[in-house]
Amino acid sequence: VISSDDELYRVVRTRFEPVRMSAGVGEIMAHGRLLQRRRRLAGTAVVGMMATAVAITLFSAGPFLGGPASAPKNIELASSVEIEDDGDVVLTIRQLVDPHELRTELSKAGVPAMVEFKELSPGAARRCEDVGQPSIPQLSEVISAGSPEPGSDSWVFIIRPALMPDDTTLHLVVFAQPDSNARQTQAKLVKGEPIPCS
Amino acid sequence: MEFAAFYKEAKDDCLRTVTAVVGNCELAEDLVAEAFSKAWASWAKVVNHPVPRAWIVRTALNARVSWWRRFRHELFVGDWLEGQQPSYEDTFDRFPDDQIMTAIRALPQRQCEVLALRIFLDLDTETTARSLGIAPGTVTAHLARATRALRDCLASNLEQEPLP
Repeated sequence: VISSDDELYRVVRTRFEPVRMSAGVGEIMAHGRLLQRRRRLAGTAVVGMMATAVAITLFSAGPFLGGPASAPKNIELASSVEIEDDGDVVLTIRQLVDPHELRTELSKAGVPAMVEFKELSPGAARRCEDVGQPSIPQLSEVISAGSPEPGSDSWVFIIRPALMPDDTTLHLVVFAQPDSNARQTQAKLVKGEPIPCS
Repeated sequence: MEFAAFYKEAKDDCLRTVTAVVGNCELAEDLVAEAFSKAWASWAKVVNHPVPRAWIVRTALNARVSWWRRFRHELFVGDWLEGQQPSYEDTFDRFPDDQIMTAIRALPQRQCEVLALRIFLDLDTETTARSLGIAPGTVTAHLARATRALRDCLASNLEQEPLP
């Protein structure tokens, strides 16, 4: 018999005991850092933000994956890799062009990586085949995923190269459908060289 | 107080509070994770809040869009993605027993919030009132009604399944 309010509350607390957060503080802080960055971007001139950045400029020959040569020229920053004061690397992807150049820039920023952009036909599976190359659990600490920047289709990722174990490589595969802005990113942190997505 | 220590100390109670109100562990975790992330991004402000845990719960319950859900389940789950979104209707092991959840979910929303803040965060009437933006007298009335309803609901089931 539940004899008092306190006893009733104790019963409820006991029943809720198994309910526990699964997210580690590292994941929370990584996402918080992204929110903080978005807020800074909203309040600070982009020119100022880029002043200390190591940036790359990829000039798009088309709107998607290199696109046809006849596509309208669209001169803009397709991707950028910036190093922040604390060593974090901010990867911003605006258009899916030249993954090899992006890999080079990530490497310059201290992030061994393989980047792949995949164009999907409608209904195709948005995932790579399991090739038996296990992902290292530190992935969620190494990279926090982004969502579109306010008012744009850009995706922001914050990468912490200092947390990458020795001899590991970050494998990013971005899937997109040409007729929509929907994208999905798969990530894996692997020992050695990643096996390309197929 | 350092954020990491605060998170460690408060995360589970905040999750239980939000779970009781929204009725779904997975949705609650998304909302609470997003709220803690916002707290980290504004830690200088949140740490000076009279009751930071109440700030977390209020922020979580106010959330309308869970970016965190995509972060955890669509992008980086620690391994390759399956390319499918799990449903919030998915059942999983952490969910409290149906008896308790059914009783709590049967309460009106405001009563549920008042009860959850008392049970899991141990907030007093004044703090609960400030957190929810209602009068202390209203908190007292809601808590009394919610407690009575919960007791009646559980009592009817006790004979069938004794509580621990």
